[in-house]
Amino acid sequence: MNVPTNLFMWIMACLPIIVLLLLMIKFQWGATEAAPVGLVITIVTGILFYKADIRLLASESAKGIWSALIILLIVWTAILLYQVADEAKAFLVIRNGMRKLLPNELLIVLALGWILESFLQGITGFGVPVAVGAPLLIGIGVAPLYAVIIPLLGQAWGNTFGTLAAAWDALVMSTGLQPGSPDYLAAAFWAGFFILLWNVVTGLVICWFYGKGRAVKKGLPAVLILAVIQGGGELLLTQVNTTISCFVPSCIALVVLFLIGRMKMYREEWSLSDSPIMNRHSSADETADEAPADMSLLQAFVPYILLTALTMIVLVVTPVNKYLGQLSLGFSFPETSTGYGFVNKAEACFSPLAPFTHASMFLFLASIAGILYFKRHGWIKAGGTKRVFARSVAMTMPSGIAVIGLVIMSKIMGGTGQTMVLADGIARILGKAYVILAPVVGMIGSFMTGSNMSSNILFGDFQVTTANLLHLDKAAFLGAQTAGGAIGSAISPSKIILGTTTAGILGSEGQVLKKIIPITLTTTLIIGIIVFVSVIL
Amino acid sequence: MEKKSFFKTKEGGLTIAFVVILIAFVLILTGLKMQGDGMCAAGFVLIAAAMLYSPLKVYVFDRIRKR
Repeated sequence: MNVPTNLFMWIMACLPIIVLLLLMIKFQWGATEAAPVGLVITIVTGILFYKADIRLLASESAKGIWSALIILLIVWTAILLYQVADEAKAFLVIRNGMRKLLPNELLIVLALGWILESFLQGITGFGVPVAVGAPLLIGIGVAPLYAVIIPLLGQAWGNTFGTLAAAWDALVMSTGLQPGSPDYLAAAFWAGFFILLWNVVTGLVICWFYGKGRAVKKGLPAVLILAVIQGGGELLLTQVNTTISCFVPSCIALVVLFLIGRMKMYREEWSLSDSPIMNRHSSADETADEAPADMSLLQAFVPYILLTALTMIVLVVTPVNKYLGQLSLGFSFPETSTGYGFVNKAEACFSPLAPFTHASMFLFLASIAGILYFKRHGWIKAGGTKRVFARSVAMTMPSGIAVIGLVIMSKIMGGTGQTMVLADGIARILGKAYVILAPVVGMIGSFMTGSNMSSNILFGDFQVTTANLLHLDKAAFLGAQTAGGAIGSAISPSKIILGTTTAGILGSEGQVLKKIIPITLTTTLIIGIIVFVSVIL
Repeated sequence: MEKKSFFKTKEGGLTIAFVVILIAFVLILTGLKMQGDGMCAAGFVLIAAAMLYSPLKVYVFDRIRKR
């Protein structure tokens, strides 16, 4: 390929991202309005400066729509599951039950905003923890904006080794690392170490949000215990079996959380009346009577328990997974290239969807089972099922357009060579100082594509090439790439939309980004500095 | 209060835009298979039009109507 990497081309590649961020953060546009503008700019720069033809643009757009439809299946089914629980008023029961089981309000926030998300990320991923977590937090009285921010932060650490290490496997495949080789183990160690750091930051930030220094002081022991179990456990397991290195520690953390709730310092009722994230006006007292009196906490969780059981059986039991995974749907795409010779290889079956092993199937079946169960007990009344489906479709549509726009934008950027120029330019200009930005590239990849896995596919090989050019240790680069990608999943617009949709604040994506970017960017830069110190000095 | 038809609401408009995008998707796939650039172009234009519905409605048409 002969795409010129000069300042002008680099600025043109940056332009869609800069405009997108400006519109969402500075001008507070919703993603549904901002994404199409970013997309139009990508198309214009693609045609005028990267010499893309209509065939390439159409092909990348179709790939984007297909990828977006797969994401939207999860969005719709996650919202459906939420609507089922909401119609049965199960969230009120969950809120009241959790308050009894964990008298410390900060622990409940940590449980529903971090530990539950980690568990869900360990098995499902694809934004499900955010979509499920936001309404649960609202149910316990967290303000909608923070009910989106907290799960976004809480799920991020599990993005590399969660979903049974899908993102890690993608990194390994795209960089040609040999499983079990010294480079493989070293890269896994670095990734685990950086993610452990992020895990500690996540817990402390959630405490800080809840009540600044007072809450950090109160929550510190719990955060350290849970972060060591989750992040430390993952770090150890990466050296043994990466597939279960997130899932197992997140399960253990879920159990340990309730044991922490029995510790002397957490077993008494404790909350901060002036917590900035708690909405004290519309909480328990006003709605307590609406909760079904005959529904137990366990019964309220039935759809989620079914979701967990189904997911575990299908994903962990290999023969079941192999049998159900036989059917997959995908489309073929021809080879396309730009006027500069940037080639997109032909795909025999692009991004195949295996419907029976896909997270949306588990969510859908759990929703249907939930409807039947709640109806049998009289918690969903006549006409309730119709309401559940109608509301789930109405809630999905606005986010659907934004997700489609963002995914097409990232596909066109990738397909026209803009993404490569973006990364290549950073590395060439900065030289060895690039090391500090290595995890930031991973983060940008997740921001653009909405997934740690896609970021690793997009930039994994680039990181290895850059490390080789600079004669530096590639393992640390790869660890930083995937850790940056995991952290970047917290600022991915498509995941933010999942949260704002289920929290009922669609259009507030800019406010969410404004709060999260300083935390994610600072941590990512710290990781970059650690890499710099370890490989240069 | 008069009840607004679903397709006259923003959600309704976005639903129509979504359907248009699905039609465009099929057009592009067919065009790529038959090596027909015309179909690809038509599908691509449809996608762009459907995507621009929301920003145009919120920041152009609704503002003009308010004036």
